[in-house]
Amino acid sequence: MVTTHKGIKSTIMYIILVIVGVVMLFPVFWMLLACFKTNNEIFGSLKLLPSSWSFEAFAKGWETTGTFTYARYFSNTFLLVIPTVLFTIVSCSLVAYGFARFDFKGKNVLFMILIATLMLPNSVIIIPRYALFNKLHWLDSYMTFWMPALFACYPFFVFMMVQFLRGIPRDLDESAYMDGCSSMRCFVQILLPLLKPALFSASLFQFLWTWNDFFNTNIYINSNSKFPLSLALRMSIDTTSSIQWNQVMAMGLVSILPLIILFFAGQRYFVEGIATTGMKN
Amino acid sequence: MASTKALKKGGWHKRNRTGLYYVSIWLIGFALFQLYPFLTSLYYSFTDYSIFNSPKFIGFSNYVRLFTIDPDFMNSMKVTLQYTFITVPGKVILALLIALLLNKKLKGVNYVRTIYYIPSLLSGSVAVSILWKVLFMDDGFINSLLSAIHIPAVPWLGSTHTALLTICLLEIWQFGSSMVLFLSALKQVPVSLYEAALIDGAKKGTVFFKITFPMISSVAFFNIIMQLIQALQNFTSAFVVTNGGPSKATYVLGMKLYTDAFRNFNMGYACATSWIMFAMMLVMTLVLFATSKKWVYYDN
Amino acid sequence: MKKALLVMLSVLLAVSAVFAGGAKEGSSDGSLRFMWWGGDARNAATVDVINKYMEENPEISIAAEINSDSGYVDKVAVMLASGTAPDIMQQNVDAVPDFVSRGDFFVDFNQYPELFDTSAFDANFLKNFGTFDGKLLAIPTGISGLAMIANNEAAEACGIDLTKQITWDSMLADGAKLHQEHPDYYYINVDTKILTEYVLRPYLRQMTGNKFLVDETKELGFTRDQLVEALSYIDQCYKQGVFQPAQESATFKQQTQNNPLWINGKFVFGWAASSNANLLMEAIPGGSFTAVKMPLAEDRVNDGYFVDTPQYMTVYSKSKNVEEAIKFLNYFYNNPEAQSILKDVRSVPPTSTARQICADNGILDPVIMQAVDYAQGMNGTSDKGFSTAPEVIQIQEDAIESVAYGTATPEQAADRAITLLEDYLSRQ
Repeated sequence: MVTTHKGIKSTIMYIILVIVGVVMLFPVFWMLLACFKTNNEIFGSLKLLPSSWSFEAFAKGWETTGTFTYARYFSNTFLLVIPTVLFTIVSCSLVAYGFARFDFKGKNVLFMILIATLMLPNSVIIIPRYALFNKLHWLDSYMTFWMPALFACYPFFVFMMVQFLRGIPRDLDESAYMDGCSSMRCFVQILLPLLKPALFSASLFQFLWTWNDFFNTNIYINSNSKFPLSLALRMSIDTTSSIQWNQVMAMGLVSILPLIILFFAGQRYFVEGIATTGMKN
Repeated sequence: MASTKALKKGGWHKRNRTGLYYVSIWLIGFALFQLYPFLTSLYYSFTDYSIFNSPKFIGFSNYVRLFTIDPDFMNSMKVTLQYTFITVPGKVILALLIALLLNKKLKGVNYVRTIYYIPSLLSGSVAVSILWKVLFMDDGFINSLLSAIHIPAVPWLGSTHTALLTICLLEIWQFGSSMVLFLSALKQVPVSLYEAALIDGAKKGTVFFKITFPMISSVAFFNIIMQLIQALQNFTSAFVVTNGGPSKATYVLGMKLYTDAFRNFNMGYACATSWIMFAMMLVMTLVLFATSKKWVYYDN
Repeated sequence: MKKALLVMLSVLLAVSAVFAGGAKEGSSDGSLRFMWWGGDARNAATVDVINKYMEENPEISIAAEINSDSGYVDKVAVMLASGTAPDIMQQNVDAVPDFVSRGDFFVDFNQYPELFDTSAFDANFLKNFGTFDGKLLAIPTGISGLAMIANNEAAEACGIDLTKQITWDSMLADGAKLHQEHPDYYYINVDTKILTEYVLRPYLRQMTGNKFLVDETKELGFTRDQLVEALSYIDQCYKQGVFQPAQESATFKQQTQNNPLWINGKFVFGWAASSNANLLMEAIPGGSFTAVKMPLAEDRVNDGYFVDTPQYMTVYSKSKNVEEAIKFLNYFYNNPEAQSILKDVRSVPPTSTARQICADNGILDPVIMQAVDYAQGMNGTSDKGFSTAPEVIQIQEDAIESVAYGTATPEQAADRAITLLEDYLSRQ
């Protein structure tokens, strides 16, 4: 009896997941089909399927009319994103460790300041930041992203890791510390393995946000040779001349492919998180 | 705190200083990259500053103007709060429910997780703006689906009553990031706790409220605060899909201050707007922090 | 831990030292930066011209900085304010008067008559577009006017006579009748942005002969009653079905060519700047079109409409290579080879020589040529300036939208707009 009960339950679960999944994915599916449509089919017709299947939009979109192809933009993007992600993860988890596991004077005030730095919108701090980067001669280089990452200036991730660290039972590292383990070793050997799911999520987010960032890259990067994808994708979109929307859709999808693969492949970190269970509370 | 008492006296003191070393990575970054823009924007908010001239001090004029002459500020405030109170609960609750489902050991669950995350990857790209317009236009797919089940067509993006909701739907559709955080948190819940509860014969609901939720409450708290801060500042979706229209129905504060800063070149004014937003966020965050003692569980 | 901090700090110092050393100050070594935005055709042609020029002038290297249309004005503003702008910039036509009023950012071409040849330009056109306070700070990239394009098939189906001169009154009467007789059809495809530029301001200009806001006196160019009349006219057009209801057309604001009703031939007319009227025509493959004259009031001070330029080119005043930049632009505008590569990628060219090349090769669409001809025949005066500042356009649009959505009467909308406009003027 127990097994059939379980069978029914998981069937219901699947049904729910599939229905939600269809709703979630329908727009993406529509986008995919739109890559094969002309502008008129996209806007003027309700038909779901395109009238012809040609991969021209992908090929043409890839080439671009600029001096460089998407291969260049992809490699630029990796050069921009990967160090940014690595620096962010290292620096933010260390700072988070400091906040979550130690009690120093003024900690709460500092923590509040940290969170407060998230509360001013980009639009109003970008000018002084630009002036600053200009003085440092960092404009038109990826330093504008790498350096803030190296110094944990992405408070979102610090806050996030603090919350995850606080969810980990304190006894684990405390006892190791009392056994004479240095604070750094406690962190690396005991806490970091437990933080894997959080570290993975943080890398994923930072990867995604830097990958998609338009506002900052637009202001800081000038040379076409240094353009990341987010800028390249918009390069030939000019509302005053004809836009081939199928190419825009196609490149929009192609540019997120690496993100999809990254997420899919990285999922084992969620699954691995179950290793936590080995730790007795 | 029982365990900390056992720490050697001298070691405790030294240990606290160590904490400051870790935090000083950020303190240096803060001093270098964040403090200056932060303070200047506060100063600008009391000046007439177009970004081209040097700022001219004008006292509280910008703030006074916001609350008296400017017809958009109150509207934007209203729109932004509506947007926030729809999207934040919508996103967080949906993300939590889906994460609970996806945390089960089901066949193919890896694929499902990926599928649910794809919309978030698209974020505010240009392609999405067209996608949303075409799906929600008058003779679009959504309306033809509705008419199939005999619901009259809705002027989604065209009407001042529904445009904001349509933008909110776009935002909620991209609940993936919150979901990922919940999934990570759920993986941190020690299975031993569940096992103990099962031995005690606890009911499902009890297990959720007594074990699962407390254990992920710190992440839920994070999700709520971050979604709140982001929602209050957000302008991408309104910017790319409706450009604030129709008739300012989706003219959120983020868009207003972007327009003031970079279209009208009234940076001082935009700074004043953002410091009011800042105060609003700070109050909400502090209130949330105060309530967190009641429902967020920390092991210390 | 202290070690880790030390490592980070030294990385920072080392890297900033490297960058500070290698930082490229706008050097005077013959390298130029040229920034523009555009679609595929414009980008390709412009890159070609740059390459040609570099071949002929090996000592000069020009870096193309192709940007996106969105975020362009922000970027230019930040660069101008921070002294980091490229030597040559394509400029948004509405942003230039604003930039000019805020600082000395652009080189006066009149100072370099031996380097830049203006003889192929219409002198009057340069005086109206690009000359500020007697200084030629920006060179127009083309000639563009407001175009009214008819979809012949829809006109025939609805029995609309395309030969008569349209007036505001006839547009309202014909449009109302058309929608009554053919409920699927509307007279003209508009959005609220188009209405500010194509109806509200020209309607008032024809009535008053003034600019919307008079830059010289910082006063309104109209009375309250006149604004109420213009807004009531728009209100009636919506109420009587001349325009598609605002709720339905709002989704396609600023891309009226994608309105499904236009694609499916349910509008008789469409409005666009002649520089992008091709979008309307391309949206209906196999369609045939006619350019007609813009609506004119029967008793008018002047025609209200005029030709202008779709963009400008400027040279940055802080450039280390002002002369080289001007020399390149001279090539860009006046060299026959450059002209035949660039064709009409920035609309109908501003020089008679380039127009001749386009005509000889049959490059320009006859419908668009006709539309530009009509526009050139209009004797209205340009109101670029305060009247087209983003903040002011926003006020105009808000007034129209509140009428279109029925949230305010024309009187209420006019009163609110006047309050805001007076506040704007008081701050200038």
